[in-house]
Amino acid sequence: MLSDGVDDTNRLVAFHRPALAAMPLDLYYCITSPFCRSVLLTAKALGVELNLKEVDIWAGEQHKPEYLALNPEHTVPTLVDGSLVLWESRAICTYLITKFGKDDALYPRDAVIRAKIDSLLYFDIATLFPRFKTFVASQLGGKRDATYEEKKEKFFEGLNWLERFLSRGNFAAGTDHITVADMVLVPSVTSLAESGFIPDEYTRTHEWVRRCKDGMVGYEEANGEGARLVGERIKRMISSPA
Amino acid sequence: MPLDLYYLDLSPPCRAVMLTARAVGVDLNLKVVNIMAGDHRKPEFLKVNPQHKVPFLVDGTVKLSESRAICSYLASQYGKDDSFYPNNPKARCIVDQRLYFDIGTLYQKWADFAYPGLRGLPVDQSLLEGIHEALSQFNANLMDFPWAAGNKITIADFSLVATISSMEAAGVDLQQHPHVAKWLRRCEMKMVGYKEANGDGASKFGEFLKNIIAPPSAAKKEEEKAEEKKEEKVEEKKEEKVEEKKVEEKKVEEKKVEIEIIEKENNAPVKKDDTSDSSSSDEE
Repeated sequence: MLSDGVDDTNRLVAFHRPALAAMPLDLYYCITSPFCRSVLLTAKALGVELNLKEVDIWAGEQHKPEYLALNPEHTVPTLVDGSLVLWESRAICTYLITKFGKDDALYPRDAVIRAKIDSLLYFDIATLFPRFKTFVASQLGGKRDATYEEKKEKFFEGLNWLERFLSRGNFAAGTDHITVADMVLVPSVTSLAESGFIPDEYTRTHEWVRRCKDGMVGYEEANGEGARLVGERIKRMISSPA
Repeated sequence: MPLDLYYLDLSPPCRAVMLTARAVGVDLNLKVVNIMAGDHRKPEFLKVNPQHKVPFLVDGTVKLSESRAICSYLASQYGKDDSFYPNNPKARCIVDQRLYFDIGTLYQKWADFAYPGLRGLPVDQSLLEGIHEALSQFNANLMDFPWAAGNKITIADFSLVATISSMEAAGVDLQQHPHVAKWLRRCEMKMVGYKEANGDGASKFGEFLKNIIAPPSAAKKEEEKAEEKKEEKVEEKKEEKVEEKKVEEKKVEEKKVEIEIIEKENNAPVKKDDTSDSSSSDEE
């Protein structure tokens, strides 16, 4: 029987109803990865305890045989909940909410609001973040390759769309409260911001980031530090020759 | 009232939505947006969807982009039960994982490989390897279950079949992924309105892409090989000539040195009573 409070390793013990499993879930993760940070933020919001297992993706640890046996797609994050092994961060976030949420605030059951949120989750995985990645790749080591201008245009197009989405309400899905759309978008957006890729004039984006920082439980531990780390890494990648 | 779907039949994401609509029995008012002709960037469509993408759904005041979000919306809002998108978290998360696998891995790799060709840019054949790696992942998923996320058809199947049928139609060989090939045939047989909602569009798209993404033909490869060999021979001959010249020059040098030695010997003084001179005793 678990209760709220602090155990001897200074971690918040999860709110678990006795009917549910008392075993913490395993999360294989890397703190620089925005996809992993989405799961950390979601778990913090739900009060779900995660047994954190680091995978250094920069050193290729996701390709080790033990990890491949768990996740043959060699991606992070990977969640283990008893017999369930799950990857794809956005699927993990919504799984945690629907299984452990005491209400549906983070991921409302209303089909229309949910569809708006889902659109933003897909926007993150297939538009915003990939355009950032390829834009970074076009300017490594201080050299701009032939695709730089095209990638720059596409990146800022994506950023403009985000800025427009954020004009619909306090939070990303046009809601007045935080949802999983914010949990998923803010790690990506703060990775971009810490890398110096979001100009000041994107005021709605910057204000929304501040609202998330203030409103999200455990923000600094789950996202702030990781975003800064990856920001520094990316700044190094694009400024110094290899 | 039918829902408006802005779409193009060639587009796999659009066909995923059409398959879902057929499955849940929703009427779609289809509005063609000819992306190939640039209609998606014209003012009329930008007013509808500033992200200039298809599919785009209008259901009264509800306006949605992102095909997989549209599929889950249709299944949740109009499905008579939750079979196409289960409510149970453990079942649903598998469907979701497959949807994100499609958009983030399989379809992404396909688009990276094939779509530059549509813009007249070179096609990188080495990217096919990544596509086959992703297909083998999906093949493994299908070893124990008939459908993408388990024992029943779900929106994951609609999304993945739109992608994979397009690949097959464009010439990607599925023989090395036998479970995927069988699943594809199963989809063709079991999915309501498959031909109209997906089959025809996939064939059309495949025909369009086939020649663009095909590797250089065998005959052309032979031609290119022969040209390469010719060039190699010319280079070899050049090198031979350079070597010959070097050998000639060396011979000339050696001759010069010989002559110098002989001249030196001819000019050297004759030696007589010099018992300390070892050379005269050697000459004996």
